Amino acid sequence: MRTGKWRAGLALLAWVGCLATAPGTARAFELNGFGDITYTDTEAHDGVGSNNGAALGQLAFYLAEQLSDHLDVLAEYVIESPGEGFVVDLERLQVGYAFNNNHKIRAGRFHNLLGYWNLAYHHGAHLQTTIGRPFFLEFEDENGVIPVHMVGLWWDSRFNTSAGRVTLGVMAGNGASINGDNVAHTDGTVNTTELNPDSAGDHDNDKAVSARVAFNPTAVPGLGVGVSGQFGKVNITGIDTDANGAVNPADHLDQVLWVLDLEYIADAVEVLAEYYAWMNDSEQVASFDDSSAYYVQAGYQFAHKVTPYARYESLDAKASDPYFIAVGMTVPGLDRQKNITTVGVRYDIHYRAALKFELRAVDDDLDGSYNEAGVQWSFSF
Amino acid sequence: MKRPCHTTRRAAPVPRWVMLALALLLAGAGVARAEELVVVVNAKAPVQSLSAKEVKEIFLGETAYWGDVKIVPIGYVDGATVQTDFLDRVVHVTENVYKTYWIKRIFREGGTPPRKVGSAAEALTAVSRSPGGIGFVYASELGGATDVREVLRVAD
Repeated sequence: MRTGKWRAGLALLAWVGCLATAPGTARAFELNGFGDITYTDTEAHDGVGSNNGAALGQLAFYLAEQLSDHLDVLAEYVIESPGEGFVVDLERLQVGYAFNNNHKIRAGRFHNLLGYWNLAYHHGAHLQTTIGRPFFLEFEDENGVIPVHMVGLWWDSRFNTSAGRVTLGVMAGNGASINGDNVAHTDGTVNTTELNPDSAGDHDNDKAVSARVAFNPTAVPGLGVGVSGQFGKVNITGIDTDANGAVNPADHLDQVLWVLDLEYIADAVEVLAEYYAWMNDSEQVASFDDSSAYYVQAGYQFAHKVTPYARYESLDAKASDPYFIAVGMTVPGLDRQKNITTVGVRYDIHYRAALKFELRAVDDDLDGSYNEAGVQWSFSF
Repeated sequence: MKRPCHTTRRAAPVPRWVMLALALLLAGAGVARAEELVVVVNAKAPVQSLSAKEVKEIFLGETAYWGDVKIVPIGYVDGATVQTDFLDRVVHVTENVYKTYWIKRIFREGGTPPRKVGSAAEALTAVSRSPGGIGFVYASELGGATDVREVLRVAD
């Protein structure tokens, strides 16, 4: 199956290459992208040996084209390694119609309207100050716990007022599901399942709606505050038992996910903070507490080159939350708290390339406590 | 640390050839010109004048339409003195910050950055060809351009 995806990806790349270079074509466009190479050294912890080595990050290509005065298209695809070999994933494909300066509608596959980070950095590691995303915002196929993507429609409105700019977005599309292989693994791996945004079709017919309202006050340039949320049903299939052989408590649940984000990005200062609260509900499970996660990140750039930064991120996944059990983030009976403290320095060699050096201290109820060091060379082209 | 006191000593005059070489070097490096910038739009554009803030929003992609007319901003190739002057005086950013801004914007939202041309003559031609055309030149380069209308002057 992966070979098939790889071949399809090559065909896509070849097609794009032909379009971009074909002589006599009426329209030319640029193929741009992002890439990174990252070296990580991880200490041994709870039954896992130490590990170090370099890895290719995601190689993201994107195309943006104005088709007419009101129509535009954006495509982003990524070449990445899921562990062995490489696959090509179509991450975003959207066609948009702008009615005017204030209102626009898009159809396709987008990044979900949840928080700030998920809409700002996408798959371009070079755009973010740090080496990686906060761990609970990872992509679905990298043990992520939020529905990063959605396929459907996206309405976007912006209003400029004397007090500041108000941005309102609403997305409606396929609801996510959690799919597993229905095998109780014994290799110590917890997450053998994957949150699936149902991009190839909504096989369970359950839809989701997400929305975000953001405000950027005129009085404080660079400040932004946003409230967002997603409402939908999550179906769980193929994981009758989890990694430890325990019975999965639910095969579907209703989910409300609330996000509060705050960012201040002005001149040399960058401060980001987001809080996520999951309100999962299933009649198959007795009442349980809500799970939550947050991060706070701050950095300051000196001489347009050197940016020391720090981040603290934390996830509190409740023991009986069927959602977090199903995505493999916790196991029945364990209130999993995972915290990561990061300090690092980013050095911008050029506006298109940067070196990042990071130290991370991980404190995890499931995997123990350990330290990590990372170096990344990120770039855009 | 306290510096020792020195008796006043007259500095040696800088040779004229050094001054000339410096001037040529600075000119080649794209140093700002002490001259007004003129922002022009297509003669058929539905605007009579624009503020510096409005022009800034256009070149940042925040304003993309005048009514139903799609705005077509025209900029210059990287390193052009008129481009760095415009970014400094109107957009208030350096060229690298501006390029980074557009990388982020296109990647996040799609769209296209201002088209790049190589000279004032090309800029004026490009503006005159589209009803939504908007560009900028130094005042001395405006000459007797036709089919364009001046909407803003930006002092040095």
